[in-house]
Amino acid sequence: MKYGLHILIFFIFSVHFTSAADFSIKPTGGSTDYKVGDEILFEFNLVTENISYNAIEGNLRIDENFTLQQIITGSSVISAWIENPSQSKDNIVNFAGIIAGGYDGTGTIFNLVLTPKKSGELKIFTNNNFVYVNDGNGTKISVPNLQTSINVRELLPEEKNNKFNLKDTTAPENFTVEVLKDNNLQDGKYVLIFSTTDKGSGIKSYEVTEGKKVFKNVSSPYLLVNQKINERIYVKAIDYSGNERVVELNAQKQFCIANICINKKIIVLILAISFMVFLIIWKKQSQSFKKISENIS
Amino acid sequence: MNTEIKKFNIKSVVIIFLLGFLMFFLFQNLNTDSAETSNFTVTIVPAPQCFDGQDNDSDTFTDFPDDPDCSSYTDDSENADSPPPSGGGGGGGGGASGNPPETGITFSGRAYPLSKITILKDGVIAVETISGPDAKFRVSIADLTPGSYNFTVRATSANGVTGTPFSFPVLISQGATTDVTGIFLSPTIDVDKLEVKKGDDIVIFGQSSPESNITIEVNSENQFFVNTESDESGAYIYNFNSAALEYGAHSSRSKANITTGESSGFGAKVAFRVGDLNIAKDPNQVTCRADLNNDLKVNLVDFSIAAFWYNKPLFGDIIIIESNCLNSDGKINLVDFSILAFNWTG
Repeated sequence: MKYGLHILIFFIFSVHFTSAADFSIKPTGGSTDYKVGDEILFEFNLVTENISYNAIEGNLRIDENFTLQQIITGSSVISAWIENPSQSKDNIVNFAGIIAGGYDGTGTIFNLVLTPKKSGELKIFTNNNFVYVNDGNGTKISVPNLQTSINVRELLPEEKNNKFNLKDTTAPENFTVEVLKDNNLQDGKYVLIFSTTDKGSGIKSYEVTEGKKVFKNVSSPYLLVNQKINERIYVKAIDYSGNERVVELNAQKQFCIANICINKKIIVLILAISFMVFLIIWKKQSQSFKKISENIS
Repeated sequence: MNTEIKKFNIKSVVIIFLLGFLMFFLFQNLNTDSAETSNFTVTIVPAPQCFDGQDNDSDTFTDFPDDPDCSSYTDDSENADSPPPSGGGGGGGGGASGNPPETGITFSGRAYPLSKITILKDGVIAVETISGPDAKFRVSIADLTPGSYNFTVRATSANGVTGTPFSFPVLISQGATTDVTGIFLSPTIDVDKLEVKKGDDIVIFGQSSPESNITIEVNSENQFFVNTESDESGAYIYNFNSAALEYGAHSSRSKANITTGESSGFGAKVAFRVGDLNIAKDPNQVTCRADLNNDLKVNLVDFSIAAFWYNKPLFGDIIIIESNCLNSDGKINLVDFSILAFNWTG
């Protein structure tokens, strides 16, 4: 009774307080009839009102009786992931990322496809989550922990499981690749910098090849093996549905001083123009010299 | 015993109520410093049914040319009974299908006269244009992949001052045209002194849309609101007397509104101090805020440098860079990334 009153008072406050920022986790689709073996899509959203946030970090703890099938970052509000959401052994998904320019509204952080392994009440928790105000000072705000649960029943012999099917035939967004040489990155060696988004299933991985070697799985910033950067470089972005976008960096034609790389064609063009200008000036000057010497003589 | 329990209960209830009010007060007074937004409007012209990516008539066929009931991409009905669109040509000739409608977005609004307008799509520069002498701009992005985007509109005035960017999320649907109108970027703002001698004037100045009514807020124990007007070049200036302000740190921000009723939100704050001296602010002083590689841009390169040192012990030049350009706490964590995201230029 004593604690009941306390809980009631807290409940009243929790109803009337709109926290500065909240997360929401909810299964999509109208049905609430979940069976063992179903593939259920959960939306994990950031919910804010009148305050813009530009960075988030935290983790999701998923009931051990769920199998995490897929993490979909395709519709995410996150511009760049510092810690890409990925599955750990103990069904914990850690994540951290930034939203360039800030975000105010309700937007997807990522979606999860989960499959119940057992019947009963299965839960998902958010834990130790923070958002950062888009105020230029990195003001850190704690987000209240959240718990969502669904009731799962056994699959009857005549029933079939619901399967999640994401139709994504679109390649990741086009992107640029930069060669960078900075003393604060990989001991001042040449690195590749790249990032893109995919509006469907989300970016699964990047692959790079230098010259005619095979593509290998990498992440940005990527330390170039060939520090002479005299070979063609290809960067491939692959989404979770297997769609690819390949971007070519013709490093062979790049000329780099400090951390600035210029296409060699442009350098040749500048040198050619400079040479022609020099020739014209020299010709004019030699003509005027001739005239002066003729006048004197 | 019962009385003790009652006393305990009443005390606890009072404490919980006090805690509750404290929490309420804290949340109400959360000083975010983030800029306000203008009253912009988003209008979406949906795609024709035969190019919206949906099976509208549930016949298992979606859009032109897969759905036999669609005569072209611009046919607005997947239903077999509906007449073909006027001027659609009918007859199923090869050229009758035309081109599919473009999936795009258009932004229009007001910034500063002849300012450079930059639109960032998910943090990447998508398009740039120059506003007119009346500060109005209109710019489009075509060929977008359907999905949710976070767009940022930023303006840099003719004299190189960048105002507070304006970001908003938009869901783009296949074949739909999205029109974002009524964007009104906050005025730029600066002050002539880092410290003003109490009783002297501090000059608050900036740029907005021409002939706008500018409201300047000066934060103090009591907030002060003063009004001035921008001239035909959008420039405004106000001499604020500091006699009414207490000694210590203060800030100011401004917003604009015009006779048509359009108004901007308040922009970011500019800081100054009230003290015993007048210390001029060097207008040419460049800060490296979040620009880790000193290329006057804050983008993926800076993000990569910060990500490389994320949660690692710092050594070498990065210690000085973190101290000068980030929050100077000797480590790179999410706070530094938040500063980077705030200053993001793309």
